[in-house]
Amino acid sequence: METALRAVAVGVTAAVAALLIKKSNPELALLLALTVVACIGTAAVKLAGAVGGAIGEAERLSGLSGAIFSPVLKCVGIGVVAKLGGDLCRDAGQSAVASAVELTGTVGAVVAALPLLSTLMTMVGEML
Amino acid sequence: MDIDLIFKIAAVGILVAVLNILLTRSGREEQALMTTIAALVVVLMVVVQRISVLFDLIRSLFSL
Repeated sequence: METALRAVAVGVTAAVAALLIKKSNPELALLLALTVVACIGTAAVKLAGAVGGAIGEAERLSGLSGAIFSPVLKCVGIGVVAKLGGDLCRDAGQSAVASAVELTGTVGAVVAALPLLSTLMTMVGEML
Repeated sequence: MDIDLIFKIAAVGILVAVLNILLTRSGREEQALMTTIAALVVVLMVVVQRISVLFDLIRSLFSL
């Protein structure tokens, strides 16, 4: 709760500051946005550490192997990073670069989920 | 959350804008450009460290 409120305050303040310096030097405004992403993102990831503990507990209780749970976490991580990076590129006016970044993120997520897919294939094969 | 860093970067931006206008009005366009590039490099050095901290955190949390 406190972190979310603080993130809103920091984000709005930084957006106003970025608007102020965007007229004279837009490149510094983009770096300001990057800094805000780093600051707020660090806080969010630290907060998500508690959720990571709960997920580990659920994994232990359900008795599923780590090979099934870890691709899910990996896909979430790749998605977050690719989305943030792509949006930053789009803010800088480079839509093509943003699309490339997001495409790489998508392919990376698919590659990370491949072990899960092969497990499913094996399971279906055994059933047939 | 390090809000001081955000204000610092905004301050650098405003300072460089003023310097840029001053140098451009006095007919030193080259030095104005150099000032802008120097500010950009300085801010980039700071930002890259923060981004690396964020990436390390994400990598450790999502076990990438």
